[in-house]
Amino acid sequence: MTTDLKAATTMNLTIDVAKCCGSGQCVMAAPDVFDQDDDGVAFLLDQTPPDTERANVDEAIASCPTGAITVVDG
Amino acid sequence: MGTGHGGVQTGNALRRAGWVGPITLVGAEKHLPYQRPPLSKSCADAEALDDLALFHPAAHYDSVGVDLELGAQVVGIDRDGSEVELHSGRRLAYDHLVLALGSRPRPVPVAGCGLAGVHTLRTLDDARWISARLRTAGSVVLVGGGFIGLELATVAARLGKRVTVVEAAPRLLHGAVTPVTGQFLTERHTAAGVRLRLGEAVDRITGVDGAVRSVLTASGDELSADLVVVCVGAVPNCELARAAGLPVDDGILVDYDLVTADPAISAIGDCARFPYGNRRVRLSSVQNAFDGATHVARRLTSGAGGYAPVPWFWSDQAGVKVQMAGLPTALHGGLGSGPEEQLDVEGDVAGGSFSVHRYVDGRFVGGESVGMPRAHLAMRRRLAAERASAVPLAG
Ligand SMILES: Cc1cc2nc3c(=O)[nH]c(=O)nc-3n(C[C@H](O)[C@H](O)[C@H](O)COP(=O)(O)OP(=O)(O)OC[C@H]3O[C@@H](n4cnc5c(N)ncnc54)[C@H](O)[C@@H]3O)c2cc1C
Ligand code: SF4
Repeated sequence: MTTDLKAATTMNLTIDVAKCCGSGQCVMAAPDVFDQDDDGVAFLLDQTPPDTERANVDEAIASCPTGAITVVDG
Repeated sequence: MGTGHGGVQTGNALRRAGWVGPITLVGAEKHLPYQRPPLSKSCADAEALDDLALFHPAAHYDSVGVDLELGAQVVGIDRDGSEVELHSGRRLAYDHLVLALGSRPRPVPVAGCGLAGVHTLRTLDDARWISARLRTAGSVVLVGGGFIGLELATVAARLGKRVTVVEAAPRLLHGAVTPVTGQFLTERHTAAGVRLRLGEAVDRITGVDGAVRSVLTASGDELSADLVVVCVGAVPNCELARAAGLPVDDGILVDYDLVTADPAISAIGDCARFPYGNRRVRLSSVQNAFDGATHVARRLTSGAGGYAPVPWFWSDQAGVKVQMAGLPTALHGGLGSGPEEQLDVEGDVAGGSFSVHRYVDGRFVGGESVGMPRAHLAMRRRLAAERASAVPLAG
């Protein structure tokens, strides 16, 4: 039985661009993970961000007004 | 109460903030909670719309522990007994009640609104109906050149319909955006084939055999129409609050913490009028419903005080996304009633990539941008910084 702390769960993010309204909430909460194109549509700078981003990503998901961001822990 | 943007976010935010007690969302509509903005932007395709608009699949509410009471019209609030009464006669007890009752389309006092083919847009059912009608309609008239009317005009024009917007004010989005953006959108809509009748009132709507035939304007023009959508703003749903003895004035009156005159009842979103600086405002936006819900959830769990939002809004129309920060222009001078606004325009307006900063007495009060999401976020950050230093939070 081994416990590998470095291999803690990774987050795997997706954005439903059809739902995204361009609010920028995610960019404000986690600027190293999310960005927006010129039409305001969000895209991922990092699809599997490190665990140090978890609090920011949680905040981004919770503050997304359209529920466009989903995270799967892998 | 209410399963729109405010209600759903209240449940989500309460759970995130650690609320352990039961939460029930009660709403008159039978659909799983959905979002309204796509209704006017994406109603060309009714099937895609259902998916786009849905907040969460049903399983979400089970997993976070929020009970849904759908198709449940509330008919009364019994403040002494701390219960709400449903249309079915059932009563639900509450420790705290959040009113997120939204608003409904403002009726227009013109003859012919009851004809088949004349509609308003607020609910998913409205959007499905309009979507079906758009398939066969040749000519579409939008009464009102506000955000919803112009978004619908965009959709209808893209479908190749003959589209006319009749707006009583002399320019589009009067009171909502600056003349710079209003003029830019006027040109874009015109180029897309939308006919704009500005400064023109609707006299009446005519029909044949109960079905709409045309819209008659005050200046005597007859615009033929198979589909008329009346989009002239919304009125807040405050009747339940008024009947329960709570103060109401074009919105349920709340304090800086969104609490009504009854400490066990809060009101948020479109139905609430709250203090903003030295005035009271009522805002109809996703931002306000969402942030108000988040504020109430924090207050109920940790007692944090003072709702000091930075208003923002967006609209997708005429092929662009317009992003706004700050109060609408009508609430911040610029209409002759208050101090005059100074505008600072940057970028390429004709090219659809620009920002407009608004100043009143030299103070930044918000602005608009097209094709510049970073400028929009910068405006919101700047407003947040100014509000933090300027607004008294003690109610
Ligand atoms: C077509 C359209 C497009 C829009 N586009 C945008 C946009 O682009 N950007 C933006 O920021 N905002 C937009 N808005 C505004 C935004 O959708 C609203 O501000 C937001 O939905 C307000 O949320 P709410 O929770 O206050 O009210 P609502 O979402 O209206 O929810 C209120 C709910 O309460 C229910 N209810 C009312 N009375 C009772 C009762 N007695 N018993 C039980 N239930 C009751 C209603 O049925 C309704 O479901 C748009 C609105 C519409 C209609
Ligand atoms: S917070 Fe949500 S809606 Fe806003 S830009 Fe990010 S993904 Fe889009």
